[in-house]
This record gives sequence, C-alpha cells and structure tokens, in this order.
Amino acid sequence: MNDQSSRPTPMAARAFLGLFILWQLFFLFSSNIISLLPKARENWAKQRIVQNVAPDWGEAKGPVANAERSLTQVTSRWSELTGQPQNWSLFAPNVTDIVPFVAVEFCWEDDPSSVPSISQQLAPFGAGQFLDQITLGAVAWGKDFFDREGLENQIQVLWTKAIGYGSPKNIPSPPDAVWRHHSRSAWILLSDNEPRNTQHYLRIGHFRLRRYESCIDISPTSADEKPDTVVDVWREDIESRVRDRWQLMHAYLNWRLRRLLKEYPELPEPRQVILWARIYRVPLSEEAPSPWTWRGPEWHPVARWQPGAVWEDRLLPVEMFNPVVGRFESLRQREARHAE
Amino acid sequence: MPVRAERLAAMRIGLAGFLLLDIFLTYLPNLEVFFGGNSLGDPSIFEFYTSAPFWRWSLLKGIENPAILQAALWLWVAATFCLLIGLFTRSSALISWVLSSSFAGLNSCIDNAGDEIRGILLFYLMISPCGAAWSVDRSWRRLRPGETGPVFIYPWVLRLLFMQMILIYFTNGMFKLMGGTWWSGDSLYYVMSDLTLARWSYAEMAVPLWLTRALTYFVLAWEAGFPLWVALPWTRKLALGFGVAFHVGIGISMELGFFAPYALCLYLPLVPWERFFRSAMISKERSASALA
Repeated sequence: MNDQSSRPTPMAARAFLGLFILWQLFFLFSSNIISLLPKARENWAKQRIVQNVAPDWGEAKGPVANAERSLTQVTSRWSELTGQPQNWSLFAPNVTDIVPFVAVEFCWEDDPSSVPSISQQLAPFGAGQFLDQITLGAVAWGKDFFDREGLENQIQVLWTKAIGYGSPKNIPSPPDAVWRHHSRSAWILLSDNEPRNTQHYLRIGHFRLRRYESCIDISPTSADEKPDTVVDVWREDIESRVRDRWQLMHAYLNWRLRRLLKEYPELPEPRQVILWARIYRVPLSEEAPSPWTWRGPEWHPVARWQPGAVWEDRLLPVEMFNPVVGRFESLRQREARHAE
Repeated sequence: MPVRAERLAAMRIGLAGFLLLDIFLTYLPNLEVFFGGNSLGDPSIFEFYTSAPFWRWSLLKGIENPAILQAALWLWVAATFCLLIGLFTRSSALISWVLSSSFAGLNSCIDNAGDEIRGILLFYLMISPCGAAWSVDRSWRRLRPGETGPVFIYPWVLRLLFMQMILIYFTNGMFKLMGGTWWSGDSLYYVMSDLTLARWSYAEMAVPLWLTRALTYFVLAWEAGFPLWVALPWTRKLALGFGVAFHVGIGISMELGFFAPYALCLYLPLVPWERFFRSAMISKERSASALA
C-alpha cells in the first residue's frame, strides 16, 4: 500500500497547511453569510429583535455594520485573488415573469429631426429666386430620392435572400418609428438566441452570447401601473442603463454591424443603428390562456448609435431613447463604468 | 483519516474533460467575438474589472492581438489535456487555473455560475495531490520500487470542497426564502417558460402547474435544508442523489452552458470509486482462478 499521507512532512509546511485550511473555512462561511446580509437588512431591519440588538445595523450604520463592511472587504479581496467568487443567488430571490431579448435595427435614413435631414429640407428656401429654389431643391432631394428607392429595393432583395424562404412572414417588420419615414429603409435583426417560433424550438448553444446580451437588455416595469408612472420610470431605467452600459451597447451594435456588412458587402453603412428590447411576458399561472402562450413581444427602443456621427468629447456616442418625448437624446459624459 | 486518491482523481478527470469540451465548444469558435481588440470584450471596456481596488487579475489584460489570445487558448487546451491524463499534474493544474482566471478577467459578461464553480475546482486541484491516482504521473511512479498498491491522501481538500458545496446550496436556499415567487410556488413555472434559456418551448411541452409547484417547494426545502439533510445519515444519500438528478434535469431542460456538468463534478469525490475497483479486482481474480 502506498500512503502519501504517511510520508514525513516538514513541520512548517504542516503548520502552513493547517492555517490555510482554517482560513479557507473562515472565508467560505463568512463570505456566504455576509452575502445574505444586505437582503436580510431589507427584509428584517424593522424587526424587534434587530431593533433591540443592533438598531443601527438596519440603516447600515454602527459597529455591526462597520464590521460587516470590513469583513466584506477582506473576503472579497481573497475571493478575487484566488478566483473563488461566492455569489450564490441563482434564480433567487425571485424569478421574473419578464423575458427580454435584444434586437438591432439598421436604418439607412437620417433621423428626420436630425440636422442633416432638416438642412436638406430647408436648403432650397435659402435661395432668393424661384428658379434657384427649383435648382437647389432638385439637388437636395433628387439624388437622395433616387438613391433611397434603389437602396430600399436592394435592402428588400438582400432581406429575402437572407431569410431564405422567399417570404418574410416569420420575420418581424420594423415597427413604426419617429426616426425614419420609410420602414423599407430599415432592417431588423433579432438576437441569435431568440427562437424564431416560440411555440416550437430546440435550443442548443448561444449561452455566452445570451449572458452578454443580458448585460445590455432592459425590462420595463409592469404594464399594470398607470401609464404616466410607467413611462417616467422607464425613462429613468433607460438612462441609468445606457449611462452604465454604453460601452457594452456600443461594442454590441458595432459587432452586429460589422457582421452584417461582412455578409452583405453591397450594403452601404447605415445611418442609424438602434438597440431594441423585445419583451415577452409569462402569463400569471392562474390566468394562463388556452392554448398557453406568452404575451408579446413588445417592442421598446433603448439606445442608438450613429456610425457616421462625430460627437463632442463631452457627449456619449450612444444616445438613449426617451419614452416621455418619444425620441433619442444624447447623454453627457461622466465617470461611467458598467456594473458587474 | 486518509482516503483513497481515486476520489480526487475522479474529480480531476471529470472537470478536465468538461473543461476541454467547454473550450472547444464555447471559447474557440467565438474567440474573436468575445476577446481582443474591437470585440465584445475589448480591453478598454473591461479594464476596470482587473484594476484597483479589485484584486482580480489577468495575465492577458490589455491584450488586443488575436494571435496572442489564440496561443493562450491553445495553451489552455494543452494544460487541460495534461490535467485530464495526469501528466505533470500539479503544473498543468496551475497553468489551467491561471488561464481560466485570465480569460474570466477579460470579459465578465459572458460567464455564469458554472464558470465560477470551474474556477473554484481548478483552485483546489492546483493545491492538492490530484495526480496521485489514475494518472500518467502515477504510472511513472509505479516503476520505482515500493510504489505499488493503492494510494491514500489526506482528505482536507475533499472536506473543503464539501463545505463549499453545502454553502452553495444553503446560500441559494436562503436567498430563495427571501423571494416571493418561491413561497408562492411559481418559480419553476417561470423558469421553464423563460424563452431565453429553456431548451424547448413551454407552450409545446407544458408541465402541469401542480407539478411545477410541488417541484418548486421541493427544491426550496432541499436547498435551504441541505446542511441538515447531509448531516443526518438516513437522509444523506437521498439528498445527494436528488442533487445529481437536479443538475441532470437542469442540463437537459435549460441551456446554461456547462453549469450542470461543472456542478456535477462536486459530486464525483463523494462516489466510493475504490469499492468499484475492489469489486472489479475480485472478479478478475475469480476469473483468473477459474481459468487456472
């Protein structure tokens, strides 16, 4: 019999191993218990026992809360150094009934409210003479009109080829939007992870892409609340999300665009690239329809990137969609980094 | 009390096997999508993740060149293969852990709990004698005089891993107890109808509501009470058996990458592999004596 455990080990090594084992046990127990405390504080801060034993802890103050913070610092650093994260709240505390996907719209029109669009419309009126107006109008509108129709046809041909069925009946049409006049000048690409037929599919793979997309998707508040409240909270959610995650959104929109142009090099670069959230809602278990199906999908614009635009340094290159006024707005730079 | 080294070796082989599959199926085909310059994991986006005040690190931090990342990934493949067969086991475990942590530090948006469990298991393999059995290293040692027979190791790594496993389920259970959908019994209904990760359409294969409710409460009780169930001798095997079934079920019904396989690796050291081999040895001896 070969007993590795019976070979003589230096005393120092044994002492070090013993200390390491004790430290690991302490780390495992304390980091996991500590991870529960913020949620416990939310739920139990007003309980009598907490008020009697550690009243300040409920407000994250006092010696108990300070000790909690110090311990969190120490255990977090060890978990980061050794690659032992302790974040075990899988499908917890709640499981949501909202199922978000991202979609990307490529639009080959300028936003009608953008400076290039408006100046194009107003250019002829800068002329003094009637004949000059006609000439300027033909220059400002004519070439673009000609290009637009040709471009739209090109997009539709490529669209039909792309879906491979000859008919776009299973592919969503872009919803009406204020940033374009013509739905034919836009192309929507769904997430690779979204089932084309929610009633019948088999999913294998795409889990890392799904994880990335979950970092940039966003879910609106419940549709049961008053519309004004919902829209205002939704605006705040979008602004917060875009501010925190604009780099991820920009990288994702850029990646989808490069993939599109690599596959269809005949296409020119789109003027606008829009990030949409497509929301499905799981019906309440007691109110499930028959036959069973999800509600939705709802379409919610979230952010926009204009590849050809040049922004001032103080503005983010990704704009947020403001649902209150129904248009995209730019955001000022700040020390933005996305949450983990 | 020392235990047979096969228990740790089983975990080493299981983890290395699943890790190789993970690398070939989810990392290699998408290397330039998730890592490197102008990718979804461009260094400028995730630079903060491995910077102060955090103590996370990555040897590949700031690398944009896809060729370097490709080389690192193939080095990871080689180290993991060596870990699988038990060749230079400690070194290959170290290299595999370093590269696992390095890639995890490049793009924090593509990992899930399975990748976290993978990192933890690699850490323990790195600091333990995981090549003591079922390895090329062991085969070479057998050539030396006196190096025959079964190998025993101190079980501290296995005990720490068991503590980790208990805390994973217990902490999860405690978080679930603080949520409304677990108390109402609706959680598994929502999970199974989650279009982003369910393997098939709930509309096509709806599970009866009474069954999803029962399973929801069962999972809640199992996780929250896990320390108790494994402490009591008469519930221990049932609790662990349910855990295996739980993860197999998750792997079949949901697309969570390699979460289920990595979680199942935590159970491998609990299987009494030496008994199977003792039975096999006895059968072999009986066959040999019958032939004689």
